Amino acid sequence: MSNIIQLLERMGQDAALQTEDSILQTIDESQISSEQKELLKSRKGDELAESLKTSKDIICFLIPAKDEDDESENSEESDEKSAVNQ
Amino acid sequence: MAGSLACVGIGMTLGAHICPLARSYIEQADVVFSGVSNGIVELWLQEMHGDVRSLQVYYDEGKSRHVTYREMVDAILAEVRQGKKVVGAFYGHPGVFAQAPHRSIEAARAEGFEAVMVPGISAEDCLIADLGIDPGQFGCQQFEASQFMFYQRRFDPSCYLILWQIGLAGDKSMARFATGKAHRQVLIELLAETYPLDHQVILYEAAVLPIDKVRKQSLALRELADAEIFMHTTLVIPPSEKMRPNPTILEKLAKLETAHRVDDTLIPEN
Repeated sequence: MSNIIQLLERMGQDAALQTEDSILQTIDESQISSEQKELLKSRKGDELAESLKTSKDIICFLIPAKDEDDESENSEESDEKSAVNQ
Repeated sequence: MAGSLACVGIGMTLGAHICPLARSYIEQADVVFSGVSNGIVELWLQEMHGDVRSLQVYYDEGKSRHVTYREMVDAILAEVRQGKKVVGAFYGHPGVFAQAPHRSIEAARAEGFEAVMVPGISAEDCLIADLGIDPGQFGCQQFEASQFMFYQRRFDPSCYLILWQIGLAGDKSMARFATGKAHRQVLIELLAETYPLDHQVILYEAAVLPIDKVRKQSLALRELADAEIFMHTTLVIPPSEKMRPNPTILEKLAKLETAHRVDDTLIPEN
């Protein structure tokens, strides 16, 4: 596992790394680049993602506001099906 | 070998929320599809498995998300049909406000494949912890924001109201990645039929990376249109009214209690 991802995972799951001081100390002691250390310390997730050649925010919508059935012409049947599905 | 499908939740915060079973499914899979909200989280999944395929490729501005979700299901099922152990790893909980995991599991089971869902820590779970609210205290209703606008929902201002995907509020096209101030103004007008415009609401964003700061911004309902809203912003509306007693039910229950007491006095002692 790459050092930066490993460090982020540890920060997420180690109870001893939930305070500002312990986080800063762990970042300082880690084997990641000084640029990445600064990005972590300043909590710059966007720039950290850029440095890892990825994007911080990616599209993640997973639920439609309307069921596709609602768009159909046979609304009576669709309503019935939607109700059954709930 | 028969294919199988596991849709697992990896929780909201990288490293913090994934459960041992979800991680094990990922590590033992033949192929992993990822539906997550952050590229760094995708990199984390790639560290767990050598064949992680992002579902991100199916989204496109101007393309109906109905089509996107169908394509996601098709891609997942195609691998299951080839006899592979397939995992869909989704941020948060794979069954909460997520159509593709539910549809994938339904389709796989309908074709005779084993399919399971492994729950994850959802955005709602984080919201409850971060905002310090208990949905049991006054009750809690939640809706997808656009659905809340399109349909005449009955909601109760004496409980919490949570509206998800507020950044897309009012999108009829199903093909945009964001709506704006004008759409939110329509939502404000709808909410103002029930809540005072100066009612304090909360904009919430969970931490996705351990370095992220949780957003919990209080503002008046009327200020919502101009607020900075992202894809992952959630609107939380605390109760504006006190819970009203239901005298009819209370009277019925009182009669029942009285009848029980009378019955008890009629039971002969041995």
